[in-house]
Amino acid sequence: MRNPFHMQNKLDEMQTQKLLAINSRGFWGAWAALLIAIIVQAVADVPLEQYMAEWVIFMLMCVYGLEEYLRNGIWTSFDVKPNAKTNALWSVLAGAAVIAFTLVRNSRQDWWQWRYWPGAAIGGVFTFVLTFVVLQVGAWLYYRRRDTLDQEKEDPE
Amino acid sequence: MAKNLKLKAARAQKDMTQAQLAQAVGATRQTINAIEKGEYNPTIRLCRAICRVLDKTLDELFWEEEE
Repeated sequence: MRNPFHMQNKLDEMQTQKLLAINSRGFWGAWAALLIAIIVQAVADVPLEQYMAEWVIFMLMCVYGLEEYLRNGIWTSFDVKPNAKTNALWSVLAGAAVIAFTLVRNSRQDWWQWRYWPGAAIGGVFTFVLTFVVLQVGAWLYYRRRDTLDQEKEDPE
Repeated sequence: MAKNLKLKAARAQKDMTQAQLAQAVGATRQTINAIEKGEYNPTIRLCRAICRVLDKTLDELFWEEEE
């Protein structure tokens, strides 16, 4: 039975590619805007309930992206061979971002006072470890999926 | 990407406008214009459709000699 909701693509191939590029920019623009909105509200100590919707949408976008990238054997557009070294580098950046975020949120203008640093450092180290583990597991899944895709049998004809 | 002057010449030989060629291959004039200007790299499917309409081979229209 024909799907009543199916809409035939009436665009030609260049228009389709442009449309996909526009959609991609829209997706990543919305992703970045949500991330900024969440960070700003978190820094301003806004109660979590007030930006829960943004957080849920942001996480849904992350899960969708991650799942589809891995399913199609894609890591990033600029890196097809993730390893522990690059994963550690990204994890350090994530940890540093959390240290900066925690310092600003907890201390406001007094970030230079030492009493704020242990809490921020613990958050940063925890984020580093968590990010590294997630990236390593992701890379393992990615390589496993790449193997499956690359070993698909040729058409006998 | 270099301009595709061979395509433009072949289209002129057939006395076709960009709009007519676009209609014949199921594309827009904007796309044909972009291919001729070297701003768009068409898929093999569209290349073949263009070749069929203009009675040319893929080599004649889309092969670039190495410099």
